[in-house]
Amino acid sequence: MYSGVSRVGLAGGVFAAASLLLGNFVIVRPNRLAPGEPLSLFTALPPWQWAACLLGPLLLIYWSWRPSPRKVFLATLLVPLAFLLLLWCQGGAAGKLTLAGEGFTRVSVGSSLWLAMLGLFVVFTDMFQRSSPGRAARAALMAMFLAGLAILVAADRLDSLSLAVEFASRSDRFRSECADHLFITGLSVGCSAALGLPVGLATFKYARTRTSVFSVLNIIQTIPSLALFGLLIAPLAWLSGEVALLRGLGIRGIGWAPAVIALTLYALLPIVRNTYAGFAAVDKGVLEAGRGMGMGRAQIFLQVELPVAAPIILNGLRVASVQNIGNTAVAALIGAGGFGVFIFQGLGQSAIDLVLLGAVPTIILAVIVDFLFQSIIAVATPKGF
Amino acid sequence: MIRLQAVCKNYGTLEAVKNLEFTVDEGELCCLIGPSGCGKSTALKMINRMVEPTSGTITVGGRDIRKMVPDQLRRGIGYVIQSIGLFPHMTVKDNILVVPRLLKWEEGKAAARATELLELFELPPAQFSEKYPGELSGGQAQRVGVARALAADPKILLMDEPFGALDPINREHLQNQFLAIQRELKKTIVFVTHDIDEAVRLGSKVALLKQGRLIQYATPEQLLSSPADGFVKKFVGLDRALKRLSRLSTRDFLRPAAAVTMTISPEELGRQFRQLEESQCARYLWVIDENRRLLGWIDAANGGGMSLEEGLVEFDETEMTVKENYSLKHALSMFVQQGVVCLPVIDEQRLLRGEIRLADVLQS
Repeated sequence: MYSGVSRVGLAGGVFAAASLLLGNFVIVRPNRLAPGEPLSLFTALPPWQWAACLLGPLLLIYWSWRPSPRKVFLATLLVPLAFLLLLWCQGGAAGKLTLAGEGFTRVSVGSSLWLAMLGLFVVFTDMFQRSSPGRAARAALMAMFLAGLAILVAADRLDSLSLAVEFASRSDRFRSECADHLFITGLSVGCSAALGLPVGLATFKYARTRTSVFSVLNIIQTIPSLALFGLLIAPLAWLSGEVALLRGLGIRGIGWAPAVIALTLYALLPIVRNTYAGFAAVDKGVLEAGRGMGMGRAQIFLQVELPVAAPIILNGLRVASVQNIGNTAVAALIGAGGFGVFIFQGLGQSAIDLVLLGAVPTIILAVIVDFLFQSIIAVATPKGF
Repeated sequence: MIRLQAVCKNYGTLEAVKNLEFTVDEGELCCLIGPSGCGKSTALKMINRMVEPTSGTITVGGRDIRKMVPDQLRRGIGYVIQSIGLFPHMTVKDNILVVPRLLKWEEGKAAARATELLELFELPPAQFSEKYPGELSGGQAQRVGVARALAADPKILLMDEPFGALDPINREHLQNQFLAIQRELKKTIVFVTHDIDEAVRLGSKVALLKQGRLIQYATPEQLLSSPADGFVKKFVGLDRALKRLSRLSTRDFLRPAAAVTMTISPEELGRQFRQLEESQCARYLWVIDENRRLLGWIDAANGGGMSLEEGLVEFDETEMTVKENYSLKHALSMFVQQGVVCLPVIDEQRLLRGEIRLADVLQS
């Protein structure tokens, strides 16, 4: 296993080093909207800092070329550290350049940092797989990285970056949009599960319903999300006008209501499909044996069918959640709120850092939810599989 | 113990089982056999109400099963199917304990029972009880399947082609093991199979079905020696006589064997050979050591002129000896293969128990 060159690690390391050498480390703008002037790693940073930034990828290239158990272990540790170092240097450079400039100067993250992070991440996935750390080691690694990030933030090291400036001027708004985003995603997935799990079970129990249910869900999935949001505006506006109760609940033609309805419909397909697949995965002989041994219907359902189907059903919920987190960003267009608000504001003002303020948290949220579901699935999966 | 009276089962216009009547006495192993679609599985499944008969009465232990709650009835009857149906998300031990737990056994008693059953089926508990079905071979899984059916110590066992999916070697091994266990436990068993050899080998009674009707219900010996009609004759096959042999064992033809030890004097050896000349096994004398352990044989043709050390012929245990529990079919094939008329019978320690003669077998 260790004898071979880690081609993935090598490629990632070379990519990271090359993008640091050739790309723009930071972009300096006279104000937040003006076109910027790119600065390379070498002009933006003092020599010892750029040397340190390059050292990480170079070491990783060497270790990938000649891997050994020890080097793989060290590489797994080094990647997060190199990551944090890049951020630290970036923040430092931004601070200096902002001070040197006039009052409105903005310093944005340059392409080389994004690409170097991507390269480092590629190296990490391979090294992580090779060292396959246990649960405790994983948790320690995660804790170390998060602690590093927290220190960077707490020490105000990143405050001068344009992204942070955009955040600082909108921190209250950011919090409320974050809450909206979670609310819309959570409510839509919850509604979809409440509807989809029984429907999925029904498609399994009654074969006749299968074709019609799945064709309807497939058709829904082909409607572009924006179109579905738009289509719901008119009927909801009418309903809201007619029924006072709905109006009282805050349901209108635009806002969160059409977003939640549309996203609930989108999430149905993965949930229903996986619920069906989960129950279909239970072997017929297993059910016959259970019945033949004198287990009742409820006992078979709770003790046999559900445990076998649960991981597959949870996987459907995972896909639905991640998909809806992304789609919720689009729902900002019909006034539903969420991180999409920053994205569309930023696009309107050509302020790229504002777009990032919406896009980056959306991605992070999706990754976190995905990770949480994976952990739950790992626990729920019976050991025999 | 189990009694079917005028039992019919119709699926729409198809009559799967017609007017079926038979009784399985306590401790008997009744094989239901017939071509596919003859209704044997349906008949079996009616006994634990997995399938409800259209008409007729089935009693188990004297009670009409229609008057019993299906789940209660089934918990008292072991059930084994061809696809085994072990619960993939439970360990071997938890699989075995499904019924005891349904019957609310105390956990300590249940765990002890699981250990006992695993030992009975030669699956060391320390190694197997925490394994998952996915980690077992086909033969191991089916043994767990049978152990699971026996877990709550039911008086009755229903087995639907339990060994059908196994390879021939594993199947024979499992059949032997199962027979030995059945001799000890004396359960009342209904056993569905499509393999006549299996039915003849395992069954104390065989019920032959054709298109839902019972054609013949008899002991395997009767079925083979006096088939009821042409269908039975054809079904049991032209090698009926050979099949009967598989029900007999070497033990049935064992006779004492003349043997000499290495310390015998040449004169005594000569006398022994002359004595043998009257018998049919004239040419050989078995040679044993002082513990009656079989060493080889000595041939009369050489024996006259030579000392025992020179004349001793040693042989491979697996090719030239039989054990008491071998089926006669096995012994016969060894006779033919080795071209001999006499075989030594030994036990596990290779001690000489006697011999069997081809002539005796042919006379039977």
